[in-house]
Amino acid sequence: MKQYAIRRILQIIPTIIGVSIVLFGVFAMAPGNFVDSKQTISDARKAELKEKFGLDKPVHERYFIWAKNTIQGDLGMSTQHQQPVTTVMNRYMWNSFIIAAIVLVLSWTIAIFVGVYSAIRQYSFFDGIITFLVFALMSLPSFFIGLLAIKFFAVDMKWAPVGGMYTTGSNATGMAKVWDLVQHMWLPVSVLTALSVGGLTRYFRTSMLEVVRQDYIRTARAKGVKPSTVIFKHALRNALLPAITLLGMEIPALFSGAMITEQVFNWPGIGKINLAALQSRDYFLLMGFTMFLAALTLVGNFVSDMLYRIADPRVRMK
Amino acid sequence: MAQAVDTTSTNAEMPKTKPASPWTLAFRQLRRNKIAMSGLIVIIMMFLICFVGPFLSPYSLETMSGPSNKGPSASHWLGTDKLGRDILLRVMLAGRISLLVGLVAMMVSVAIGSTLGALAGYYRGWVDTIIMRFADIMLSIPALPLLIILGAVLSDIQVPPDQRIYLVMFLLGFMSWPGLARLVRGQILTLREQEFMQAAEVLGLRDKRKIFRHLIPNTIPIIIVVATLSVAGAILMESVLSYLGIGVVPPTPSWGNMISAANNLIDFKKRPWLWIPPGVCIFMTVIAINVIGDGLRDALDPKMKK
Amino acid sequence: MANNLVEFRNLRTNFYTSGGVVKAVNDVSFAIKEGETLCVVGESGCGKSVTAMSLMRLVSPPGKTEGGQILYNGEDLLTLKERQMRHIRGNEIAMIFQEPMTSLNPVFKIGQQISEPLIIHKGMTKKEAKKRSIELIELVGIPRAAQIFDSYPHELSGGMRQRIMIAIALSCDPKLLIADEPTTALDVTIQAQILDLMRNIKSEFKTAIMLITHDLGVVAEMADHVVVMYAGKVIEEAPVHELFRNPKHPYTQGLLRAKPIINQRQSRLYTIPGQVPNPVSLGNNCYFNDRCEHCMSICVDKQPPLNTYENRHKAACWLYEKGGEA
Repeated sequence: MKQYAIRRILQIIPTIIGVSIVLFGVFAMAPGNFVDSKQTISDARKAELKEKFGLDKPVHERYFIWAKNTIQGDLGMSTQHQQPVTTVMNRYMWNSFIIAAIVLVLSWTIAIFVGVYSAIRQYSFFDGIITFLVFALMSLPSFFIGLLAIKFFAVDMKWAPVGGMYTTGSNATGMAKVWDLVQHMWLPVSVLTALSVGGLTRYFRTSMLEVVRQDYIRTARAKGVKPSTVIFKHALRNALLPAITLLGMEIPALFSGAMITEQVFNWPGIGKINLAALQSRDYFLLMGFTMFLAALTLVGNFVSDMLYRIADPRVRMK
Repeated sequence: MAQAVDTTSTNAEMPKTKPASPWTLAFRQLRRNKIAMSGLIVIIMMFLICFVGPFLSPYSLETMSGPSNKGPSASHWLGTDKLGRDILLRVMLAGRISLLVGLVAMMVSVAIGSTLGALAGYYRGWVDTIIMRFADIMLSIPALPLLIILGAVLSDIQVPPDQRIYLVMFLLGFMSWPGLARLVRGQILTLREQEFMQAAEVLGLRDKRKIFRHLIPNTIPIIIVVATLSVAGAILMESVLSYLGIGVVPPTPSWGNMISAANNLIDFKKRPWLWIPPGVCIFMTVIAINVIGDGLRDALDPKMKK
Repeated sequence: MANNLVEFRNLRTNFYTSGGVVKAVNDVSFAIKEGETLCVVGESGCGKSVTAMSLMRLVSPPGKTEGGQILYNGEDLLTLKERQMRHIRGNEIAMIFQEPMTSLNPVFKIGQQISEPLIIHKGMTKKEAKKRSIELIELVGIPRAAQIFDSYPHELSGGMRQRIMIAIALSCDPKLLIADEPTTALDVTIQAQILDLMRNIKSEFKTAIMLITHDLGVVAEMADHVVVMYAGKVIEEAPVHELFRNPKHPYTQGLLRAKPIINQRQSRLYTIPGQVPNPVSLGNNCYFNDRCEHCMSICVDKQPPLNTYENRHKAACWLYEKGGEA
């Protein structure tokens, strides 16, 4: 187990170096010297940045300078925010995290129950409806459904504010502030849950269908176990096992922010900030954020691998 | 027990029908799948409307065909935009681009993914290591942020809009090959251990022939399923990028960049006919492709059979 | 003479497949006596497993038990409420299956799986159940029982897993043990051990056994009484010695001839010609007629009834009927 963990970590290192080279390659394609064209920063800052990141040097030297800084946790200076990229990311990431965490809990809970129910009632009317809904949800373009939701619920019905995280100019505190947050949050949370619940439901349904056909389920029933115990103890445990892998892969999503949805709902999360960085060509922020996400993805894969090994008795022993 | 009954019944039916190839069997099963068939009909309709429809339209995009910013009416079924262009015509023309982007991106992805996957699975050793390492790298870079940087760079180095479409197609295809390469590699690894490949070995066939004549054809079912679903993925991704203004950019219309009309607050609130029709088109196309892909998976992949 | 423990009366279980209705169990009647080992023999798909699953009331869709009675101690199981039936399953009637490798839940420890019926049916505490489970593991002949209690199924061999399945089945001292091809998936030497174990259980606990098999060797070794099934019907039934000495139905005769005999050179092993009929399109005839070397005109026109002859021997064949003489 420990050996496996070490081997996996050693495998991650070349991958992350590869990722950094690919990303830097794209980064280096950006035309000319993008710092000079910024009007927002002072000449002294420009000189400082150029010096620090060796922007006048050849590409390969720039890569090593950049890599060295990145390893030290310095992702450069956001030209738009005039602050270190890490500071900017840290400030907005938690706004994304609130939404992502709620969406994660909601979508998994819904998906497990609906998926399991749909599977044990396979080919029923309910199952048919769910199967269709799942396809519909999986096919929704995120920005379009976000726009539709705002148009209908916020603009036409006025059930929710049109966007943002808190009412502008409001200086409510305590519960009033939380309530304000909830009002701003429910619509984007619902949209994001809808977007992620489809695929998950399908996953749990398929996985459950696979499990209920297994011989050990028949054994459990032949032992006189209650149907609900058969489903929720004997079957669900087995169906959830591979899902642990998925859970690890959700880690990056917790911090990455839902770019499109945040943009549409004007939610001040890291995803929206990244899109703003696109508009202002804030390359340091774009790069830093993408590199951070890639690293998180690798960590997520590693975690899900390890979780699976801990959870499945068949591989745990080896 | 039920299974045993099933087997005997198929055995007993065998003599009645003449022996069918796996493809015929798969096709027969697909035809029985009502959902997948309705998806197929939707897609065919969508292609017909987008590629034939514009010839039947009395309007053109070059000239103003009516008053600007008018809602749906008898003469303009989906209304007009601020330049007085017919929305229905624009949706159809945008559909050509979006569908084309999806198809070409899929072909790029399949060409790269299946070739690299087959090479990795066939040669193993260092070829495999290099290819799969590269696939791992591609898989760990989040697609959308990377495409956003690429899109920004494309805009900054001022690629002309008409050439930009091709780059977008290629980029979308290039982003999605690693998943397919992994699947194909896995299949080839098992296939090459089987008897018929040992027979090919004994016959002394050349590697190229073995890979392209004997191995890849056996992975075609899985490639077809992944390819179908990847068209949907590419259409969705293109629409996101174009909505953000870094995919297909105006004046070339695409469903995604038509929806970006909603970025204007007045258009968003008061003129939903500008941005809802292209959104509905994306949704319908993607859902249709997804159900076809699912039907194909049921028909072609025996492991996934219900 | 012992009492009937289980009696099937005109049992019908149908499967609704896309190809049509399959009468998997078609008007089946026979009885299992207390403490007796009854073997059900037939080819795969003949309905023997479905008969057992019907007895457990575990036939799952598209299958449905639609007619007849299954009397257990005089009470019709088919009319019991699901809750009452659960009390019978694993408690009064227990079952073991063909595939020991997949019949145990991979994510639970062996101990938990043996304890479960004890806790459900006997109301034991976890601790009591553990003590009893370890005794049971020892009973089925596995050493280091305490260690096995804390193992997972994948750590055991196929033979050991089948022993564990037997331990689970025996946990609540059932009156009847159904064994559905319990040795088919095992190596020959392990098969013999498992059969020995089952024989010991029978003599020690007086448990009745309904043994489903297609292996006549197993039948000869284990059975007191034999039921032969073909295409969902009982075609012959007799005490084991009577059946082997004097098989009546041509199908049974064929089965016995298809078995190799040691020390006797045969140029070629006998095979019954033809195939099992399509279960969807069965008419009113003897289902074996197209494979039978004694086929007569009546066999194609009319179904033979299951009649009783001397020595508690029953058979469904026109050869032994007056109507068949013509």
